[in-house]
Amino acid sequence: MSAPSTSPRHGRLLLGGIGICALAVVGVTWTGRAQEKVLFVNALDTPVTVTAGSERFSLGANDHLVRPMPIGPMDVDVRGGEATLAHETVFVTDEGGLFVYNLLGAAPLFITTVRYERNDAPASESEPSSLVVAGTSFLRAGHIDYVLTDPPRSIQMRKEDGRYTTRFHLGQAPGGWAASYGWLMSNHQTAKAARFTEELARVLPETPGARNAALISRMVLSREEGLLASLAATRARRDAQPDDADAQRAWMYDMRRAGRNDEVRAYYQAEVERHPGSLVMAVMLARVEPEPAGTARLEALVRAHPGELLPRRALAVRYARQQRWADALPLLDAMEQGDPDYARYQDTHAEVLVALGRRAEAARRLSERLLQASPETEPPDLDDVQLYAKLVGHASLEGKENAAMRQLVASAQNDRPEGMVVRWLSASLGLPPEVDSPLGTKDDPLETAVRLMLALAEEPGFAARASTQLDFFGFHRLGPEAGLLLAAEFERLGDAALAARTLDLSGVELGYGELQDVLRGTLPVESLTTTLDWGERAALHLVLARQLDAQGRDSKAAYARVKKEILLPGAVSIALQKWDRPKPSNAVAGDSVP
Amino acid sequence: MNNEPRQNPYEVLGVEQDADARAIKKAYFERVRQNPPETHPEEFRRLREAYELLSDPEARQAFDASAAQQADGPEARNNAALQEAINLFEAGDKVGGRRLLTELLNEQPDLHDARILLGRHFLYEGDAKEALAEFDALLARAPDYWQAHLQRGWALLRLERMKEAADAFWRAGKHGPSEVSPRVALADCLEAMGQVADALKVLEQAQSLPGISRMDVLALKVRRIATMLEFGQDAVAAKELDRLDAELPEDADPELRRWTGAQLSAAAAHLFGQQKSRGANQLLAFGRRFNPESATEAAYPTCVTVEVDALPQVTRDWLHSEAERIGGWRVLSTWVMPALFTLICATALCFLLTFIFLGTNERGVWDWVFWAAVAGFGCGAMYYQTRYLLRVMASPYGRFNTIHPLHLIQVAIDRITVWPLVHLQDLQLVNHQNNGVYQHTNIQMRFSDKRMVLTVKGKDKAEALAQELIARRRRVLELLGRGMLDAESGVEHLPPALLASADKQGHVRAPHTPSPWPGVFVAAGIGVLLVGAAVWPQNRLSAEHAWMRVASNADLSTMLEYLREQPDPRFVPQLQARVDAELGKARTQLEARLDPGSAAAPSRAFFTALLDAASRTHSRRITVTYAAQEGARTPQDDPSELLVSAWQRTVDEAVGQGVLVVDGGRGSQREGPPLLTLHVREEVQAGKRGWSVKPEGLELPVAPLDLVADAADPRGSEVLFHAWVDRWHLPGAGDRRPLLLTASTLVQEAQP
Repeated sequence: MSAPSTSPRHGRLLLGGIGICALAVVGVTWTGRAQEKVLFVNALDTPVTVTAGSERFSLGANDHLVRPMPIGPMDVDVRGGEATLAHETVFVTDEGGLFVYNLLGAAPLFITTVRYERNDAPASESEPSSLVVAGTSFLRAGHIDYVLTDPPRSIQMRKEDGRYTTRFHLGQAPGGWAASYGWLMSNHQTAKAARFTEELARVLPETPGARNAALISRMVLSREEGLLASLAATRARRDAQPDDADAQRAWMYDMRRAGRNDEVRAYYQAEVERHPGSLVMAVMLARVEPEPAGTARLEALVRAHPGELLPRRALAVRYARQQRWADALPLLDAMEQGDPDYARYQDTHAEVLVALGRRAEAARRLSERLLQASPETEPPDLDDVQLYAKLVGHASLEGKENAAMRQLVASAQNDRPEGMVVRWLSASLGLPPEVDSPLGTKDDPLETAVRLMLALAEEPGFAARASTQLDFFGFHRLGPEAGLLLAAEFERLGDAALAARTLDLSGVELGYGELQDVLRGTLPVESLTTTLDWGERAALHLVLARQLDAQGRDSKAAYARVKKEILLPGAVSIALQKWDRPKPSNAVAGDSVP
Repeated sequence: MNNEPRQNPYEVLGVEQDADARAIKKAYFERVRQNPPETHPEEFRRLREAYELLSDPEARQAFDASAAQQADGPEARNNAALQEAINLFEAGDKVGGRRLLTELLNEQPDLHDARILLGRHFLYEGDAKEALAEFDALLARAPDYWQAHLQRGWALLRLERMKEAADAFWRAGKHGPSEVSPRVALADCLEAMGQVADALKVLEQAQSLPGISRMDVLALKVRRIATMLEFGQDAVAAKELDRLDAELPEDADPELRRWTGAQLSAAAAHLFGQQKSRGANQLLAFGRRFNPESATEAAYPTCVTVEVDALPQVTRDWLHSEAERIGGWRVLSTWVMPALFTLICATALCFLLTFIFLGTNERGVWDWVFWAAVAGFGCGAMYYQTRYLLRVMASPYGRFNTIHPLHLIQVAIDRITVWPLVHLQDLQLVNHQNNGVYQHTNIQMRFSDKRMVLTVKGKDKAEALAQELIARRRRVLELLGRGMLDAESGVEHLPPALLASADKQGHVRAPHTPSPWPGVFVAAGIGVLLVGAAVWPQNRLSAEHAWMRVASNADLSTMLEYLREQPDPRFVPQLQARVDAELGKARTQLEARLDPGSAAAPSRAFFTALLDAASRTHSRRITVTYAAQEGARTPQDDPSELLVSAWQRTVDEAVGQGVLVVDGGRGSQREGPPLLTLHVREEVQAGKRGWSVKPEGLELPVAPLDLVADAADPRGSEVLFHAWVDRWHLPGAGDRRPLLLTASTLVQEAQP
């Protein structure tokens, strides 16, 4: 073997090669680092074409795709057929991890932390944490181990992992945009929900329910932001949908809360003069006109437009509030036959029949109507079942005679815990709950409503404690009668902040100032017959009767009036039966124990 | 000091009787080469004794005279008989030799030389007891015969009867009052018994023996110095060496000086053998002055690293031949690992510089200083590694080990590590196994104070190498002790004089080889300059990414913070436009919410001014500070938090959520300094509770307020805030609903 070459050229050549290799390695690595993975998710029922930066690709309905995209601003244009669904500039940053482009923010995406433990580790009691990432079109999800795939039930753990290790899972729930909407609303991310549903309703107006969801979320958001915000939103809706009676009513409601009824009346007066043929404006004016002009206008409208639903509905409700049961019944019977929106008035119909002494007939007609409807397409609402229970006066499912109740409860059960509906019905009737009846989750609005009804059956102080946990959805389940009763009682007891909050959440068409005036005696309850139902008026009368007790004055007539006004069991009947009457010497809640 | 009958030294060395010293030395070296001590120990001994005799002028003269006398007569016959016995012994005929000597003793019982020879033969054969019996028999006949005592002492020493041996040596000295060898033997024995001081004393006394030659005196002095060095009396030894130097000045007899040098080398070899390398080197260094021509009698450093370029041509040729013989040329594995390491370094450096230039993180001055230091270090290290790789490629050698006659040599690319075998003090073989399967053998060695390990594959190979190293060491010490190291073949390939030129770190550098450090520092400087050059482009890049992160967030707070804290002129207009667009939405909401029919309509100007200021100052923070007169409030009914949340609701109602933030003066740093501060001061006087409200920070269309309520009213704060809202026409004005949202009294009172 001879000595190898020692020429310096070899060394330099080798060195040059090393330099080139090093530069190549760094170049390739750095170029690779200049890209990040972006997950494109389309949760809509329509295929789309996505142009992201310089890339163009198709994404099927309810499909997803991962693409590496360069770091920096990225123009995204999404087209569904000819329509542009989204066009925006997002920024892929160098922070690493997975980026998600969720078309319109519609996909119900969530990130969960999956915990894997050794077999010999003690069982963990901690719940896996979840983060909802729906409602946002572009976000950085960070490090994700399982992207839209179910994490495995078990993994191989390394020694250095210790007793447990965690992985991150990005999942997508079924249900599309509606699931995202539900999540965001229940998580109080109302602004996000409003933004994404409004955008959805704008680009895909034919999406069923999108417009309604946008409306509700906007209303809830504006309610959260304050009365002026809510008023501005309802005003905008009123202007956008002048022929929509609900939009008009919503604006009227906010104006009433703001104490600007006179402005409302002037507005509709001017509108009627400007559009004499507008039934909606005429009906709205009749709602705010003082009696008897309002009723007379409605009767005239019904006579002039016998086939029109809107004046008939308004007059039927007006008669019922004025306790003109016999006048209201033919109108409601007619509505039952031909009004597509009759379901909203069936409680009024039932009350009218009860007031006329036909309670059994009311129960029978209601159950027949509810059970005739297809449970798959139109399952009975909880409120309908509650109305039936009030009509029959119990929530028992036992016996042959309660077959209808059994069927109604079964069809309203949905995925609620077994027995939850019965528990709710019992609570709303003031019946004691069964000892072994199951409890729902704390966040379930129905469960919180049950708790409030049970607290209400004890005393106002307990109800105050329970009502602080309730939000808009909880009070919706409770009904305006209970809300007004509590608000008025709280105000009577001097808790103005809680009274105002309860009144706002109950949705009763009564301003806080009006409530104060009623309790001060400067505004008679009878003057509110055009806006308040008999149950709401009964609630005010009950609180006034209790106020008389507290003032040491004779309250027999007042209580008798309340009893007379009660048609169906509910919050007022429960309070009347269960609450201790206040003592005359400046008594407050909690001191009312005999 | 050897009492065996001598052969004719001229015949042993094969020289004429009139041969000069040079011819004698040459002949000796030649014969030693032909008969190395490892293979021909007896022949070597004869050669050595012959050379010693003939190299000593006085001894040579005495021998010549004695030889002339012994040419005839009975003594000549006896000598011939003794020589015949010796010849028989050397021929391996032990029985014949013994019989001859026994017969001779039977004939002449007083022929002491024959008994001495017989006894020495037994001693040589390892039969110390038989030898002792012969010497005792001799002493029985001639109790004063000093040589018999001396030989008896050796036999006792062999039997480890130290005290008796010392006594025998003492007696030998007593009966041979002018003899040196009994004194030396006694000193050796005393040393072995640990009586160093006595030994030194004996050696000192021996120097003043009557009729002792100067050479013996010098030999005794060297011996004494060696003993001192062996037993750690370095200071005394140094003084003795100085005296010796003074005794033999440069103008002294050159032969005597050379002879002394040889004695010193022999003593050094003895010390090396006793693992006293330091003392040995001291002696060798001292001996150079007496024998400067010697190539081998110099101090040996323990370990020296020599650059190949520093080696003389003869050494390089030898190294070349060794590489050829062993297969130590550069192979793939020699340069691949350095090349890979260089690639890793280069890649790391490229990553570093790329990060420094293209990294997107924000950096302050100290960050840049840090990165400059890192880059400087990285570039310097890269230069060093590059230089090493070029050296690897410029050298024909790989890595291999070879054994020089004097050293163990490790060759590594372009430098060799020399381990002089004189320092080898300990050697162990350790076999390494993996799951019971033999892997390799480590030869663990200790060279003076340094340890080194050679890894050898194969047990036999390792054992052979170890044997060779031990034999080499023995031979080196033997030759050094005899002053014949120069004659060893191959020593000229790596002269110890070259090793002696090593610096303090034990390196011998090639002349004219540039030091790597200037290059390293220049490379480091380039690295620092590169970092300096990266500052401007990286700052721009970092600003771009910071802007991008802000833009991707699209949160008003983030955008305002960017505009306030790190406004980059390239992005400010774009971001300002986005902020104004967001604030524009808030303005639109404001217009819609504070409609002309609303009691809060007059406060449009107030909120518009706030939004304008937020756009201008890039702060959206409103601070509400509350201070109460001492004793006016308890901590429980302090309304400051209620005020803050009420104001937050107020601005949210007017301009929407997430536009303006209200705090009580302890807001997040992220929101910056407050845009507007509302100072509320509460005082209670004469049954009245009063709030004075002063806005600060902006020119606003609202006036400072002095508000009064009944001090006894439990809803006093609510009344005062209502008044404030009404006076400034804020949202909530004209409405009777509570605005402060105090905690529910019912909830507090209710007990489950």
